[in-house]
Amino acid sequence: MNSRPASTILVAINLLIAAVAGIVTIIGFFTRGTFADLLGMLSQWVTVIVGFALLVGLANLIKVHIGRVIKGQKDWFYSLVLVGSALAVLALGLAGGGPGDTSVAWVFQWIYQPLGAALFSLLAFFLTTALFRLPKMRNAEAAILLITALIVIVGQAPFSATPPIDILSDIRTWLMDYPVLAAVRAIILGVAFGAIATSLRVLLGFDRPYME
Amino acid sequence: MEITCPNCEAPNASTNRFCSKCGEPLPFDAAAPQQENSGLDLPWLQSVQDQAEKPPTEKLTGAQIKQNAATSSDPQQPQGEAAPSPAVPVEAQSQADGETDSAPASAPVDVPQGPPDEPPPGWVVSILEPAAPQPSADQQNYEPEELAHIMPWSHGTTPPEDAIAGENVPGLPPWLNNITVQETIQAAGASASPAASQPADLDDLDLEGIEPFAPPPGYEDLPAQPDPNEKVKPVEQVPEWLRSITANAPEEVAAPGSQLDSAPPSAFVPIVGGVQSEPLPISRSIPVRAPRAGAVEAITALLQPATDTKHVLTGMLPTTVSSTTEARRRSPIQWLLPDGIIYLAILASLLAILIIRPPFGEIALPASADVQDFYSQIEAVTSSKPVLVVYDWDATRSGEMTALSEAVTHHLMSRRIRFVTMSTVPQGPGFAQLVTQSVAQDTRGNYGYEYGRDYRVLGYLPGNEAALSALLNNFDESLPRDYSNSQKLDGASLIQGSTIQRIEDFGLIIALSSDEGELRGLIEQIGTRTNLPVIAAVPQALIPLVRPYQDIPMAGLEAVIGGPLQTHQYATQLRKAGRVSGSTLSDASMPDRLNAQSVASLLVGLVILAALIRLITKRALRR
Repeated sequence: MNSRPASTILVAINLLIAAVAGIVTIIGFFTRGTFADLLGMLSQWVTVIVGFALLVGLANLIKVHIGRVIKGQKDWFYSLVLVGSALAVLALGLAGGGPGDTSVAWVFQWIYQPLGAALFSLLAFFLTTALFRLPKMRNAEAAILLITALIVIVGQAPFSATPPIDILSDIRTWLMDYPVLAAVRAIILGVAFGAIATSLRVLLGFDRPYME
Repeated sequence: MEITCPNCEAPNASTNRFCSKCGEPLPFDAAAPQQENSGLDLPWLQSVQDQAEKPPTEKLTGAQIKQNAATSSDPQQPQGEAAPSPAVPVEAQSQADGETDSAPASAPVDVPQGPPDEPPPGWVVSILEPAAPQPSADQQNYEPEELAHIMPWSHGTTPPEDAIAGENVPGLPPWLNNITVQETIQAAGASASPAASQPADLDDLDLEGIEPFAPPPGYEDLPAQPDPNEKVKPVEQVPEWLRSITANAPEEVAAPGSQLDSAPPSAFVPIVGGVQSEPLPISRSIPVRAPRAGAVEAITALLQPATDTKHVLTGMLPTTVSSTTEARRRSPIQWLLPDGIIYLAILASLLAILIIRPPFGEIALPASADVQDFYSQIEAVTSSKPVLVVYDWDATRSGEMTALSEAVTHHLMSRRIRFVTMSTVPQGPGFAQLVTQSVAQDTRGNYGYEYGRDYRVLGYLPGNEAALSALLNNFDESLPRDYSNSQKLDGASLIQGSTIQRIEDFGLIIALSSDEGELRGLIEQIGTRTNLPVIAAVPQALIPLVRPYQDIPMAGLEAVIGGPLQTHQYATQLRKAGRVSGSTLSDASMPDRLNAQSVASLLVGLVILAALIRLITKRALRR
C-alpha cells in the first residue's frame, strides 16, 4: 500500500534532478559565471562516468569471452584471441608505465593500424560490385544516382582538373556547392530540430530515459 | 540443382529468386532438393514449426491422448506407419480412418542446440502459449518503422471498434486474433475434407469484422484495377498477400485466381496445400524489403508443407541465413561474372599503381582556395600562442589522415609554433604520438622540437560534447593526462614558457577528424562559444558533411581541406613557401597516393559506365 506513494516521490525526485541539470546546462551554455561553473562540474562528472563505463565495458567483455572459452562454445578460439590480445596490451601498458610506452606504440603502429586500414579497404570491393548491381533497381532514381556518382568520382580525380576534361571537375564542384550543400544543411537542421524537441520532452518529463 | 533464367538462359542456383545475371524473376523449381537444414538458427521459429506439426492435443479424446503417450514413449515404433499428414486435424483423420486410434506422430525435426539468438516476438509467444501474459509495448524489440513494415495492420488507421471482439493480442493482425495454430490447421484440414467443408464448421472463426489487408504503397497505382461492376469477393480470412507467399510455382503464376473463382464464397481457403493462392502478377513488381527473420512471412512459411518450406524460406529470409553450398559449387565462369572480373580489375589496378606507375601523380595543379585558406590560417598564428591539435581519427582512415597530419605537423614545426595534441576518440593519442614523434625526429627537417618544451601529447578525453564543455569551463581539472609520461598536468605546465589557463589561450584549433560527430561537437562546444578559429583536415568523404559549418558567422570553422588531392596541393604549397624543403615531406609518397586515387576513380567510373550500358542495352533489347 505504501509502495505507490514512495514510487511517486521517487519519480518526482528523478524528474526534478533531470530538469534542474538540464536547465543549468542550457543556461551555462549561454552565460559565464555560476551556471557555467556548474555546467563545468556536471560535464566533468560525465567525463568520469564515461571513463568508468569504459572500464566496466572492458570487464564485461573479458568476462563474457572467458566464459565462452571455458564452456567451449562455438568459435571459442576467437574469444581466446580477443581476451589474450586485450590482456597482453594491458600488461604491456602496465609494465611500461603507461599507454605511451614504446611497446604499446609498436603494437599500435604495426598491428592495430594495418589491421584497421586493411579492413576498411575491403569496402573498395563491396562498393564496386554494389555499384554494378545498382541498375537492377530499374528506376529513374538509380540511373540519376549512378550518373551523379560517375561525375563526382571522376571529377575529383587529379587528372580531371586538366583540360579538356576539366568540365567534369567544374560540374562536380557545382554539385557539391549547391545541391549537396543544401541537402546536407537541411538534414543537419532537421536533426537539430529533432534533438531540441527530444530534449524538451526529457526536460519536461514526458520522456524519462534515465529511469529505464 | 540449377534454374535456367527464362530471359537470358543463365544458370542460377535453385535458391535464387532473381537471376544473378539479368535480374529477371526466376520460376520456382518444384524439384529443388530439400535440405534438412534450412540454415535457420532461430530455435523459437523451429518451435513454431513443431507446434504446427503437432496434433491439437486439447481436442483429442482420452483414448487418443493415451495412444499418443504410448507412441511417444515407444521409440521403436516407426513413425511413417501411423503418422497422418500433420495438417489434417484429428477429427477429420478419425473420420477418414474409420474412427481408428492411429496416433499422429510429430515429424522428426532437428532442433538447433544452444541458446536462441533472438527471443520470439510477443505475438509469436501468444501463438505458442495463448495463456502466457502478453509483453507490454515498451518491451517490443522492433522499431516502429520495422513494425509498420512487418505488420502494417498494427500501425494502420484501424479504429479500435473495428477490432475483432474477444481477446485481442497487441501487435497481432485482426485475422489472427482468437485463432490458434491448432485451430488454423483444423480449419485447413476441415476445408480439405468434404464433410468438414460446410459453412457450419466456420462458425467458430468469427469472420465478421475482419478487415481486408491494406496493400503496400504503390500497389493501388498499378494498372490492374478491379472492375467496379464485378461482384465483391467475400471477406477472406487469410489476406491475399499472405497466401501469395506460396505462389512461387509456375502454374500458379500462369493461372492466377483460378482456384479462388471456383471456390465457394464462404469457404475458408487453407494456406496449406499449394495452389490455392492468388499470386500477384509478375508485372506488379512491388519493391518490398526482405522480411527479417521472425517476420510473419517467415512464420507462415514454416507452416507450409515440408516440400515448399525450404524454397520459400531461402527466398524470403536474408541471404545470411541461406545455405552457402550452392555458392561453393559455382564454376569459375560463374564466379567471373561479374564479381570476379571486378575483383580482378581492382587487383590489376593495384599492380598498375605499383609497377607501371602512371603519370597521374605528377600533374602539377595549383592550390585550391580551400588549401590556400587552410595554409593562411596556420601562417596567421603568432608564434607566442600555442596551437591545439585535436587528433580524432582512427585506424580505418589512417591512409588519408596520416599524410594530412604529417603535413600539418611539418607546417607547425617549420614555423616554430608550439602545440598540444588532444583526442576525444580512444585511438587518437596513439596516432598523435606516432605522427609527432616521426616529424620531430626527422633528421632532414631538423626542427629541434623537444617533447614537453615545444609540444605535448595529451591522452584521451572521454565524454564527447560534455568533455569539451568541461574543458571550456574547467580547463585545468578537465585536461587529460599526458599520454607519453602518464602525468597529470595543469595548464601552466603544458608547454614551457606558456601559461595556458583556459582554452582561449590557444591561438588556433586544428581538428584532424575522421568523423562528423566529433568535429561537430568541437564546433558547437568550443567554436561557437569562443573566438578561437577552427580549421579542419578531414577525409575526402567527410567534406560534404563538414562544409555546411564553414563560412557561417560565429561557427568558428574557417577552412577545411581533405583527400589526397588537397593534401598534395597543401604539401606543394609548403614546398613553394620553403617550409618543408629539407624535410621528409618533400619526397613523401604523394604521387603514389594520387596515382592510386586516379586509377581507383577510373575503375569505379568504368564500372558505373558498364552498369549503365548494360541497363540501357537490356531495355533496348526488350523493346
